Amino acid sequence: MIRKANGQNLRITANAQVGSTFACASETILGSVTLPPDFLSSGAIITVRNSCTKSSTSSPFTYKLYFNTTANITGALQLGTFSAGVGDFSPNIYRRFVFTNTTTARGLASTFSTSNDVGDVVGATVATFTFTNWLVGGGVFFVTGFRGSGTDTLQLINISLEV
Amino acid sequence: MISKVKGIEYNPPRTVGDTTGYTGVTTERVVNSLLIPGGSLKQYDLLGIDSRLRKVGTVGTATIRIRIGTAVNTSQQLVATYTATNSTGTLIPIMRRLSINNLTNSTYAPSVTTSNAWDHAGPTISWQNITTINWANDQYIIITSQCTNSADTVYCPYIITDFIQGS
Repeated sequence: MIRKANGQNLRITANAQVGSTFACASETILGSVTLPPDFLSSGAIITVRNSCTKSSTSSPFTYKLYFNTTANITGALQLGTFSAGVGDFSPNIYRRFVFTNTTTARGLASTFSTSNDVGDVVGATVATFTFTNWLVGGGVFFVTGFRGSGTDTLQLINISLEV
Repeated sequence: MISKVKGIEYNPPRTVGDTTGYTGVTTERVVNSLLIPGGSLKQYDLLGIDSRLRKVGTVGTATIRIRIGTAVNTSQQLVATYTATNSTGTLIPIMRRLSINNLTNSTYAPSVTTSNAWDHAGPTISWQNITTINWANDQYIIITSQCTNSADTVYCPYIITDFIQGS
């Protein structure tokens, strides 16, 4: 899971193993990537990106990005969301965060629905995200899906955390 | 052209500098390529590919494609496509992140024939399982161009790859 060059960790990622298929009738974790303890320091700029595939065109999905000490929605810090329409076959979230110290990061507001924070993200605001012992203790970035209606399913294609 | 992160060199394959100009035809042609040696990638790795065309002339539009295969020609496996939306679009990018689900016969990419500059910009585009690429063998990343008017000239300033090790 850890990319190395000359024996040194440079970036981390989950993997490109196509995940299980989920109906997401309730909010369901699709996949995660681990942030090891003490891996990043204050000032780090990270990119969390992931992609899913949707089975057909019957369902809208709400897609969310979280951080927690483990892959658990309860108590998790929401970092982003994207409301995927019925025609969005590859819902994804792409976000950058800047750590201003070991417990605080800044990025696009967590409730602003967009797949990526690049380009003309009109009307978006910057939010400050605080999580106790974030960089020192590490944790898990994970994505969830929640089906609004219909019978489509979701499958994670990849998820990565890059520095 | 070697990147450094905290003084550590990281050097995935990339090309350096503009190619020569290509002009005079409206058929698809190879404008740049690089070799990914067999065994460089493993199952569940991610492979990033970033390239672009630079077009001189605004008579017609241009299409950039990524192909991957064991030889450098326009018959190799199509992996990605982007067509500039108008003739004045002279910097024509293409960026993809490929998921290597199986080293020898399963590489996932957004629909290879659907025009899209960056995979994260097109959530309506479905994913496609490419079964013809075997990363255990040498593979070429091939950038091709196709102009709608033969008077335009295209260059390829770079191909950059990004290796991200899976678990």
